[in-house]
Amino acid sequence: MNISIPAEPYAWPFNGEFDPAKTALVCIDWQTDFCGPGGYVDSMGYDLNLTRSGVEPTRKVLQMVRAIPGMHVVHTREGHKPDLSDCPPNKLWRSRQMGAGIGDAGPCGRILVRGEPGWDIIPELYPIAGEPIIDKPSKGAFGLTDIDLVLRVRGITHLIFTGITTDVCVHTIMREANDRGYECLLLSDCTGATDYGNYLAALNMVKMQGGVFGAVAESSALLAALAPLAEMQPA
Amino acid sequence: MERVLDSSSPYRWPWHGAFDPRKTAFVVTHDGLQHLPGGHTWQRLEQLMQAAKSSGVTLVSLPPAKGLSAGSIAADMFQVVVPRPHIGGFTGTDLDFQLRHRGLTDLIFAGFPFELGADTTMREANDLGYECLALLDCCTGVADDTLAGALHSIEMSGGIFGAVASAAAVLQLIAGDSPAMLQTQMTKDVA
Repeated sequence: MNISIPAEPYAWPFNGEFDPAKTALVCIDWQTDFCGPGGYVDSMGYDLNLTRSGVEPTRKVLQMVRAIPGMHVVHTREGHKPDLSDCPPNKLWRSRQMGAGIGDAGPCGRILVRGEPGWDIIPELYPIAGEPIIDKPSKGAFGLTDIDLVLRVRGITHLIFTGITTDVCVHTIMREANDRGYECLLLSDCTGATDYGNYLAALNMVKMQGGVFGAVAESSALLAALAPLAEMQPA
Repeated sequence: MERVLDSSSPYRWPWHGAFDPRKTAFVVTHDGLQHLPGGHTWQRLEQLMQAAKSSGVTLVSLPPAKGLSAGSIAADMFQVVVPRPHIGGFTGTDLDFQLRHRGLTDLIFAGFPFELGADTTMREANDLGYECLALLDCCTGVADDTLAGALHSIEMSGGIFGAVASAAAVLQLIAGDSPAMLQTQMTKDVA
């Protein structure tokens, strides 16, 4: 399909052949623990406005992508088994040093534990039927889950990223995907970090060396480029 | 007895409190000649590699599989060389096996530049439970702002990928100097 999305440092995808059937919108860790009141990030004292800023732009992108026939949506979710048997001891220790121990009781249930209210995806961006959810015990997604298989089975080769936090989970997953040959795009206004300087540096790191990890675009550019593909939404 | 860095951030590394050279790897990544260190950074790196190796730390090189040969950074010093076909050192290699069967659980990273091979490999290692440290003054950057951002991100959320420290702090740890011993030494010097 002769569509490309204005992006930096190159128009995406690199070969100008956007195909919705080969492309997934990847929504990373839009969980209460990372952007909701009483969650893990809130408990550590970070400004939730920084991690929540991408929610509304991502909601709009999600709405359009769901209206494009054949295009995919995949969600990831970070969390641990209730007995914490999949939590490395250093990760557990560091979280406790911050007063927000993984597995400890908090306002949204046990922090970063699967099945707890704080661990789940926020209502605004909640997955619908047919959208795979990848549960991961890690920052990255490819090392310790079946995401690569899930993408391959669907013939997905191109990934468009939204999510939190930019410099941690989003960057790690984008690096992993890029190393495995996926063509990657990050939507700059659909992501946020616990530190604004780290957010900016993370965007710049994608763009180094001609796009060493892929490209970066604003969601408005994606929405404009994909609008002709979207089926009319019922009013 | 506790043996940790005095001045690492955001916590005194390693987290478990028992630095052991025999369980520690010094991991050097590089991604192109233009990013290799010069002058003082090069001297610091060599000094640290020598001290680390003689104390029992295992030296690991992760050169790019294509392009540069493994010989670009003091190749004869390394006990383990794992060429990287990708940016992350664990992707498409047996690095995890090479570290595990030697009992290496704690990793100290020097990266040239840091933002590529070292940063990606440290993220992969941390997810697998390795205890990681990045050297603030034994690295180069693609650009100042990206290097600063990469190093600062490590310190988020109580050390999201581990900790950061200077080469001098690691040298002191390797030498086994505890603050108490230093205090004794300084007292003697004054006397």
